[in-house]
Amino acid sequence: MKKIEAIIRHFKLEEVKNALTENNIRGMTITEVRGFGRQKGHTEMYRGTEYAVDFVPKVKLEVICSDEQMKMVVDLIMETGQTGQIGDGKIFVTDLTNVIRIRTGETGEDAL
Amino acid sequence: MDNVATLGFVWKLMCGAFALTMTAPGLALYYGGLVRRKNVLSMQIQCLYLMGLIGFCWGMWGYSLTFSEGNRLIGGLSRFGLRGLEPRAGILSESVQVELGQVLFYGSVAVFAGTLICGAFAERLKFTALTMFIVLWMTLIFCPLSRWVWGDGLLGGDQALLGGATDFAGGTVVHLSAGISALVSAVIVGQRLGYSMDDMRPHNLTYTVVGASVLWIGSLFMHAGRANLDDARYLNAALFTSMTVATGAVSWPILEFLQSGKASALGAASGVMAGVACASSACGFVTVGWAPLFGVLATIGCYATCRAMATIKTYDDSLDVFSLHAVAAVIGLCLTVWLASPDLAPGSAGILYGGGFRIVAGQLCAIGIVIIWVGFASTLIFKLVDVVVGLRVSQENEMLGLDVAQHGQEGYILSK
Repeated sequence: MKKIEAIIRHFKLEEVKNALTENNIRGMTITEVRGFGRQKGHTEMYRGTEYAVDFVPKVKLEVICSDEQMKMVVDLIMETGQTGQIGDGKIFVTDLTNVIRIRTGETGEDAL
Repeated sequence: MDNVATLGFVWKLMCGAFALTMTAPGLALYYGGLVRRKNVLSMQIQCLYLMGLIGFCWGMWGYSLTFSEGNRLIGGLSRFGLRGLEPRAGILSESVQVELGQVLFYGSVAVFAGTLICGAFAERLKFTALTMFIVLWMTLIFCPLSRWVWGDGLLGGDQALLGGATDFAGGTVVHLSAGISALVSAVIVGQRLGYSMDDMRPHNLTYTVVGASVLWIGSLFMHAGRANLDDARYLNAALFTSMTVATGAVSWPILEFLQSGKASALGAASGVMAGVACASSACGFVTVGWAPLFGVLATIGCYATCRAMATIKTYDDSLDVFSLHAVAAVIGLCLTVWLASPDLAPGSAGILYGGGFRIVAGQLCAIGIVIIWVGFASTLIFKLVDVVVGLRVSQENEMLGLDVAQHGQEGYILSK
C-alpha cells in the first residue's frame, strides 16, 4: 500500500476530490498547511510597515491506496491539480506498512 | 422659552450619545482589530473601562475644573460631584439645563480623547498603570486644556493670549494633546518585545473597518455638538467633517495605490481617522468647499509620517496615534487660520479673507503651549506611574499576551 500526500492549491481541491472519488477512491484527509517552495511568498503593507509573508497557504491532501492504484491516483492529481504556473505544489509517495479500521479491526487493503 | 432650553439640552444629549459611540464600539473595534490576537481583549476592555473611568472623573471633578468659576488656568470645585445641577422642586432651570448639556457632551469628548492614547502603548502596559495614568491625565491635562480653549481660559475667549486658539471641536484639546501624550508614552514605555522582528500584523482588520465606520458617524455629532442649536455653525461642522472624512477615506487608498499598486482597507480606515482629526479644529470656521483640501493634505501628511516613523526601530507607537492624530490636527489647525471665513465666525477671519496675522500668532501660540504642557505633564505622569506601580508587564506576560496575563480570559475560543 502507498500513502500519497499532495500539496495543492486551494481552488483545485474540489476538482481533485471529484476526480478521485469518481475513480473509486473512497476516503481522503485534508489539512490546511503553509509552506514555501519555488513560489515566493508576498509582501504586505500596513501603514508604511512592510511584512514579508514567506509561507504560502496550501492544502495538503492525504490518500491511501493499493500499489496498483498508485499510478492512477498520482496521474489524476497531476491532471486536475495543474495550472502550469509556479506554485502548483508537489506529490509525495511513501510505502505504508499497515492500515487498520478501528470499527471492525480489518487490516491491510480490506481496511481501505 | 423653556422649550428652547429643553431642545438645546436634547441636542447636546443626542450629540453626546453619538459621540460616545466613537469610543465604544468605534475605537474598541478599530483598535481591537489592529493588535495581535492575544491582546484583543485588553484593547477592548481598555476602551470600555476608560469610558467608565473617564466618565467618573469627569462627573466627580473634571466638569468642575473645566467649566465652574475659577481663574483662567483652572476652574474651581464648586461643581464637584455635579453639585448644584439637581432639579429644584421638580423643575430644572434654564441655566442648569445648559450646564447639564455641557456635562453630557464634553464628557463624551473627554472619554474619546483619553481612550485615543491607548493605541500608543498597546500590547505592553499594565492595567494598573493605565488606570493611574488616566486619572492623572484627566486632572492635569484634559481639564486644564479644555478650560483654556473652551472655558474662556488662557487660549480662548476675549482675553486669550495673542487672541487664542481658533479651534472649534478639539484639534488642540483632543487630537493634538492625545498625539503628544502618545509620543511621550511610546518613548518612555519603550517598544514592544520583538518589535520589527516578530510578525505584528493586525489580527483582524474587519473589526478595524467597522470601527472606522462607527467613528465616522460619531465624529459628525462630536463636531456638530460643539455648537449650540441657536448657532447655525452646527450644520457647517457636520457637513465639513463629513466632506473631510470622505476625502480622507478616498485619498489614502489612492495614495497607496499610486505607491504600491494596492489600495488597502487599513488605508481607508486610516484616512477616516486622519480626516476626523484634521476637520476637528476647522469645522466651525471654514466653509465646506475647502474640506477636500483638508482631507487630502491630512492624508499626505499622516501617510508620510507613518512611513517615516516605521523606519525608527526604537520608536514603537503601536497604533500610530501620534502619526495620525497629532499630525492631522496640526495640519488642520494651520489651515484653519488661513481659510477661516468671516461669514461663519465674524471675529475669526483667516488670512485669505483679510484677517490679520494675529490669528496665526494666536494659533501658533496655542499649538506651542499645548505641545509643551502636554509633553511636560505626560512625561511627569508616566515617570510617576513608573515609580508607583511600574509601567510594563513582565516579558513573560508580554509574550503570553495581555488577555490571559492581565485579564484572565481569551478573546477567541473558536475550537469549542
